[in-house]
Amino acid sequence: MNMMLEGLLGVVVLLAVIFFLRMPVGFAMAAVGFSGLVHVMGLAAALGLTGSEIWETFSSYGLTVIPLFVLMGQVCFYSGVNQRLYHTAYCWLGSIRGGMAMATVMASAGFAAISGSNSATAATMSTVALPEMKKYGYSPVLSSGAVAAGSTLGVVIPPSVVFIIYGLQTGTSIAKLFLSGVVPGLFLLSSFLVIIHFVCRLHPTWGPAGPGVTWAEKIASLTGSLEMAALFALVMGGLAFGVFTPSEAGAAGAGLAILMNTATCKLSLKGLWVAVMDTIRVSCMILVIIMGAVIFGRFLAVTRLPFDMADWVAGLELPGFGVMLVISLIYLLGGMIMDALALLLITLPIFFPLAMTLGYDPVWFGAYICVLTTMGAITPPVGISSYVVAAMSPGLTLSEVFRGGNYFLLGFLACLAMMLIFPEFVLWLSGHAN
Amino acid sequence: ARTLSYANFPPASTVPCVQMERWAEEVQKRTNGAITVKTYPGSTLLTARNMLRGVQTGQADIGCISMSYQPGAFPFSFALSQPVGFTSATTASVTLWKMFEKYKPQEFEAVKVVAMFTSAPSNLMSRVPVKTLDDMKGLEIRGAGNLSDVLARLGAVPVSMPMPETPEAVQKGVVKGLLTSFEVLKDMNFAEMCRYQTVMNLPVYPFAVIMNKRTWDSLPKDVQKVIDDLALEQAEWTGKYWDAHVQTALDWSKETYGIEVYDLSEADQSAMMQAVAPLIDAWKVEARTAGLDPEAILKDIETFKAEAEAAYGK
Amino acid sequence: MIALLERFRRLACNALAAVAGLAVLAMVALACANIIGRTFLSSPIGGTYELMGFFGAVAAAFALGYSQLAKGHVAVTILDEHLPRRLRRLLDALGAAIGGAFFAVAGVEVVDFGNFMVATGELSETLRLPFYWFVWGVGGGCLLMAFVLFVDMLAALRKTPERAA
Ligand code: NA
Ligand code: NA
Repeated sequence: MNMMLEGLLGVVVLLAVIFFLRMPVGFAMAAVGFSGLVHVMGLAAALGLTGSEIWETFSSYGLTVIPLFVLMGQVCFYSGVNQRLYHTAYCWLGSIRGGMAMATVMASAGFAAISGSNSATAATMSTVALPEMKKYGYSPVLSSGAVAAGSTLGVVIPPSVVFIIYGLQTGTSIAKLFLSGVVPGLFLLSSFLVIIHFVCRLHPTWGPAGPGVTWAEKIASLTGSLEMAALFALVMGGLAFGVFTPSEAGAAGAGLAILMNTATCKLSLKGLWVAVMDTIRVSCMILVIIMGAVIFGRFLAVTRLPFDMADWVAGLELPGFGVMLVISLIYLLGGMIMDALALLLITLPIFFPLAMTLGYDPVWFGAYICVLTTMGAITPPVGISSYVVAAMSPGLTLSEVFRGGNYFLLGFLACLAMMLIFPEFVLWLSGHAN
Repeated sequence: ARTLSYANFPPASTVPCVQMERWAEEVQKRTNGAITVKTYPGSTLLTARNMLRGVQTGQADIGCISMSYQPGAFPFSFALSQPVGFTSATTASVTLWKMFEKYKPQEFEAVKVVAMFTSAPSNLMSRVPVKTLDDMKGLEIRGAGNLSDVLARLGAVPVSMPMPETPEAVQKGVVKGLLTSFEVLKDMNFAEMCRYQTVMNLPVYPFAVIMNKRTWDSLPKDVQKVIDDLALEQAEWTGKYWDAHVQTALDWSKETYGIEVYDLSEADQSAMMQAVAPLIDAWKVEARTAGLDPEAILKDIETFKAEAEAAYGK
Repeated sequence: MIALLERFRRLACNALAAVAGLAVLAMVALACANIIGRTFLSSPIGGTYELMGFFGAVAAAFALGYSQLAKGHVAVTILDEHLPRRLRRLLDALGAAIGGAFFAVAGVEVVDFGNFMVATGELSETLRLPFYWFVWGVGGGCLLMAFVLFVDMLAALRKTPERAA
């Protein structure tokens, strides 16, 4: 059989296994990739390769950032940092129509600033925000959509697992990638606020206005955001002044979060242990996806499918802009059926070299596909953030969450258009650094 | 015609892969096409960690290993990673091959060695000028493997972070420089950040090209002879190529970034050799445990090195 | 029988998860100590980077089974509502069997990779530690994961009294 056809067959089998056997994406990629390797390389070579790849992935220093950033987020969650931050946002916005949903999106952005992962933000915000919004009579479509959309900010606003993995895979500066996420992240945030405003105009019963809050209370509530500000300043400041590398920033942030919260008795040792257990669970899931993508990617590389596909796109003889639109379309479709991280890991070896030959900036391309794949987290039928929100809230159906999330897709499309038309939109901040 | 697979771990543009292509071409030419070699650069077939095992078990017929990457497994080759003052890749590569031929060390017993070579010597690239040994005191420098011991002995602060982390760490000033051979100035654009280079002639990295034993035994006698005859020539070719590559990188960095290159004074050089001498003593202990005669090995390295320096210049 | 197996796997997973948790805390402590040592005392902790990798490997591999029991590995459940329940269970069993087989093979291979390091006497690059212990640990974590999935398969099959189409 033609090698490229075998690669395509591998992709089809993978999708079938993911959908029909309902195997977790990481397992499915690993098992299908391994079978493919046996087929194209022989059993002995496939076995040896798999054994060493698993050890090398698990023991990779670069990937140790994942548990560390996740731990920082979990420690903040269990010591109530998120809840206090949410309270601040609520004091300022609760009294306007849809204000709680806006507060939710803003609190998500704040939490996103310290958490690198969509799933962690979605899980956290579901527990914190959904009960509160229900209390104030918010429609589940709006509130769950706001949580799902807000949680996607976790990988656009730095620090971000997606940027770290992109940087590790392509050799792009992780610090520059982090900075490149700031402006699109803020743009998405503001567009979400505008969208909530208009949705509540259309459906006034979805987000009734809350009671008024005095200015004194508003000012007092600001202390609730101090801890988050301190952590953000430490992580970004330490990076900027060369005290530590991006990989070390996770450890510094987690260490400070633990110290800050245990010293002020906001976190018990037991609470810390619960946070640690959540951390190993979440980061194990991410590492298994990466392991699966590495093994599946190895199989694809042997079949040369990625290279042939890149050749095909390059052979379309479109202008650079047209190629980028084709790439966007592929990511959009891929994002509908796959997890952002897995999609990124599989496709980067294909599209990164292509984008570079077209003369795009590696940092810009990183930010662009980060927003593109992130959008996939709330598009049906496979949207990891929407899944997590639905799973965390009994009584909420998946289709309600997806319906709520759809309103926010407009913000994503606007952001992507801005990035395509004005690349400076992404680059000016990272360009001004150093 | 028979096709042999040849796996390598660094990216295709690096010296170990360039010498791989050259070896493949020469073997094909000299066997009149009886042997063709299919090359797999950039860890596409075997990764660095899996190379030795993969060649032993036949996942690839031929593979290129870096012995300093797996300390403990190569006590004999580790002699070449000691600070014995090689000044070029050419002399070190030829010495390594001659040492191998003379000793046939046990560490390569499970495979057939078809070629050997070393990197150029390790030198200091830094964000701040280092003109004397004193300038190194307290400076955070990245050095892998036993180079971190060397750095500690010289009073620097050794940071043993992985290479992919290093450009960003140097750029941010988390570390102030790195200790490895000079070609990274151009290949990884370190010249942009590290404008000050100090020639120190610290250890080289030894490499070996190994072949699966069963593959070797299955080759016709005349093919075996072609491969054996190529070995010394390949060491020489690769050494010269690496040295020229370093010179190109230095010239390019001077032209592009106006870098400065310093030599240590005679006094500093001998002080440096004295400071790192205990590392050689530590290797001697290790070598004795492995059943080797370290004094004889060091003496022979000295002899072959002098011969090579006479032949190729210092 | 299955109840006994389920109790055993829970115990084993929790025990390994506790080690994984300690490994994560050790990583935070080690990396922070290294940053402080390097920045303020000019004496970083030698071998931090390789130890971080080894601890990270243990943290991930020892969490595999625990994560599976906590349903931490997200699956795509979009077709769920459209499949008959009995078929769904059969597919679940098949999925668990495939996953279990993969992790069993992977575990054996990783342990074998560690055995090779013992045979050649390979040591870690900076600290020169015999790190095959960590490799065996990762292999062990994979094997426990295979066991967990194997029990998952049995459980899925048991809930199907009569043979499904
Ligand atoms: Na983030
Ligand atoms: Na999606």
